Amino acid sequence: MSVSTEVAPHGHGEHAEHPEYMRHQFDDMDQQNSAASLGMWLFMMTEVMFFGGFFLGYSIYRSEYYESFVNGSHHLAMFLGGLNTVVLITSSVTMAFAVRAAQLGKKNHITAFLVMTLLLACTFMVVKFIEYKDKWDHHLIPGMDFVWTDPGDPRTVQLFYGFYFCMTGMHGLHVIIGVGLLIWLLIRVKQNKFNSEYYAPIENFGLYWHFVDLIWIFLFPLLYLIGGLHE
Amino acid sequence: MSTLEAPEAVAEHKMPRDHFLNATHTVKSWLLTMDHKRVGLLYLISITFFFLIGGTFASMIRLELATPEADLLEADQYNTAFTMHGIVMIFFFLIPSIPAVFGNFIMPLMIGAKDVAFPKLNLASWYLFIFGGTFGILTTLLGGVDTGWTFYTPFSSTYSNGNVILAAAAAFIAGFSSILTGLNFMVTIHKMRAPGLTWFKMPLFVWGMYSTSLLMVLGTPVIAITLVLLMVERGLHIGIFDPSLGGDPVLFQHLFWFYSHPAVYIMILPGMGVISEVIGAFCRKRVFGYEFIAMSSVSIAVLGFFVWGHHLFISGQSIYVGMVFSFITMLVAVPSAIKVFNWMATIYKGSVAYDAPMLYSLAFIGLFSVGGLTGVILALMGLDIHMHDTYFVVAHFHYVMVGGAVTAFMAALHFWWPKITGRIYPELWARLAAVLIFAGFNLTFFPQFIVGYLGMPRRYHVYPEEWQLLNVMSSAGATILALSFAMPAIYLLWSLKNGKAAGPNPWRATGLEWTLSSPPPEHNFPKTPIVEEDAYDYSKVIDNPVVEDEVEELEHA
Amino acid sequence: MAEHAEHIEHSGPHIASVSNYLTIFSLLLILTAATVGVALMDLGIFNTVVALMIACVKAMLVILYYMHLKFSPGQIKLAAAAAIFWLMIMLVITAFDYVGRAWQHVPAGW
Repeated sequence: MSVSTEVAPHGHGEHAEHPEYMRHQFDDMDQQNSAASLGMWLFMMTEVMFFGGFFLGYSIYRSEYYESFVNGSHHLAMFLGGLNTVVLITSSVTMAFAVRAAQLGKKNHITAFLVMTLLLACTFMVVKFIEYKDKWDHHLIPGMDFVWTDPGDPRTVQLFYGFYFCMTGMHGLHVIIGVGLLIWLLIRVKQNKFNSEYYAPIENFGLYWHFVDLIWIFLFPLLYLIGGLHE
Repeated sequence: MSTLEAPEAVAEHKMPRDHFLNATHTVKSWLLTMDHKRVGLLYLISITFFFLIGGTFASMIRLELATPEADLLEADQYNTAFTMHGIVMIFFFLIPSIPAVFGNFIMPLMIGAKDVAFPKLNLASWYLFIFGGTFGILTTLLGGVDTGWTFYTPFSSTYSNGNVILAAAAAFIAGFSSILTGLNFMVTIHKMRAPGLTWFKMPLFVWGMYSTSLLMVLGTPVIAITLVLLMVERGLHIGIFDPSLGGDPVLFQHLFWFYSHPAVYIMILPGMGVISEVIGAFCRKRVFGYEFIAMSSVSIAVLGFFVWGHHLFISGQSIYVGMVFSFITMLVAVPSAIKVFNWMATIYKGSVAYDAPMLYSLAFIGLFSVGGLTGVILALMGLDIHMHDTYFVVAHFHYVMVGGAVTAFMAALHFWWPKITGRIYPELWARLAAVLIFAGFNLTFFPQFIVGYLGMPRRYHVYPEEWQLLNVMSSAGATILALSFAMPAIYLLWSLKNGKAAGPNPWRATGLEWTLSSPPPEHNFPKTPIVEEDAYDYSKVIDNPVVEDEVEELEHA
Repeated sequence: MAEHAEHIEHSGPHIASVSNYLTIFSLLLILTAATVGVALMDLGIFNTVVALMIACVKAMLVILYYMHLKFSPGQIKLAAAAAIFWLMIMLVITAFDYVGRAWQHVPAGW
């Protein structure tokens, strides 16, 4: 299918000094791409510190109330958590392929991989919804008529669930934002905004998406896999 | 008494015909601007507004404390007054102040850039600030919050009757403004310096902005998540910070201060950057120990992340970690001291002019030293046990935040006013105001060291009668301070219409920003400058060219 | 052409091979299975340690290869390392508080 390697509305010839995707504050595309990349990584740094606060609280309380955390974790469906882990890891690889396609200027491949990533992200949210609904049905949402009848101190098991919902909820919010951004990217791909010289938004979204995957890589064992065999 | 009026500069300047202020006139062009200079001005107007609100709360505090009894405010109202004073002054005035106004306006000019790296993000930062500020105003209108700006749990999460969630949301949103500004500045400084402008040729203000940005980017997300946890706890009572449900209030304090201590360095590092610029210009000398000052900014930013536990000495924190925090806190004073010594060495045998920016800078050195040294006193865990939560702490942080950061803000405002507006302010009134602010400040806060050392607790609206004299002195000082701050507001606004045209370089200072017209052109540099000399090269003669036409001005420089 | 503040790579971005990405993908899946498998065994305290270690390995694979950190300029590597370092500051020193409370003679109770 047709591939455009150059969007040249200015018609400057092969050098295209001021392509429409170059911002006025930059001198050339190298500078712009370099700045965008650094900016995105710095944003990743902020996200690490953001989620880090949750991990700090989680680790303090887990060491204080290990038994309760184990008991609380038993009710989490390890299968669904594992499934979601596989879903996210797969979406990471499809996203990586999307960026690769962008580097090669293959518009249809970009679209295909972005769509796959989008579908996997939606699958993740569906599974999440199923899990949350199950918690709601079993009165396991702290602060909303929380009832705990299984073994374990209800007071501190509630803490476990507090962290469960905060951390997976914040993560889920980031997935939803990712879905929105993916739709935006797909629209722009359709509008031929990208080519093999300019694909920074796709690449930088990729960084965001891999980060979302990274958080889940830690959330899964810490929340779902504590304390061994359970149903 | 020397000023910078050399004979050749007496001739008149004219305002440039086209500049960033008159480039477009519509409200929309201001509210949708992507010009860093206009964004800086939007911030200037906003933070001035919040300064007035924060100052109003301060007046309520000092009025109440003029008498030992509770005759003006009840306990809950007083709690609300000092809480709102803290929240507004810290989150909505001090933290943005110098970075958002002068970092935005001047820093890209100093490095020869056309704008910041992400102009749209810059505008978004301002809108986030306004959005957060709206929550803050809403909080005020709905009766405020009474937990102290520190929001300690479980009072804030469980027992307070104030608008905790609204106030936390205000700070949360404003925090993102800060994060995005810091990110923008870091990328700008890394990637958009003019050719030839290596790191160690950059003005020290830029080093200050970079270090501050590090703090903003790494620290602010932690307060964001802490406020999220607080809001969840407040709304759902799941027990994260409530001991009766198994939570730990000290965990809140760790999370809160992990950001809030670096936040104080966010407030002071830009100020230190300003002082380096002003001292260089008004002593007409290369800033002594440039590399040391540059590296000390970075050191303060890094070390500042390792000391937060000194706010938790009496909280129940382990005394062993307390000892570690105490030691590192004393270490972090060293880079600050290095700066003070280098500034003094710059002034020594310099050709000193005592214009208003320099007066503020001299005040800064003295007041910041007092504030900093009293901080070292508080760093000693044994002493802090007695002085924690007394007025000694209040005096300490007001010396560094007002005597330091606000003074530096005033220095920056006067130093760069001609560049931003193209007008000279009336120097005599400015010097008078500086002296009155200095006097009023000391009268307000020095007695607080004494009364705090004697044991007067902070955040109390009543106190034993024997401390009334010191409190009255403090309230009198606050009155002088408030009235004195009105002076710059009046004469600066006056100068917009009636001040002499400044010309490109009224102070004959070094720095790329002074090579442009005042006010600067909309797109900054017509040609990207190429930098060859070091910063602060005062060995050559710098003039303030008398020209009629902007293009000629730029060729001269 | 204007010089830039910093050296910008002119040789073009590194484009990974399809097999590289698929290899990493397989490794990630295997490690996920491993982490679940280990969780079903009882290793006492080591359950946590092993789980975190596997998570770290997975994270490194994603960061180095999917996020292209391995092929990124040193400055970016520094930024990523700094993020982890700063997180560690927060976690480790705070943990020191909690651990240290047990060493004190006065019972630290709530």
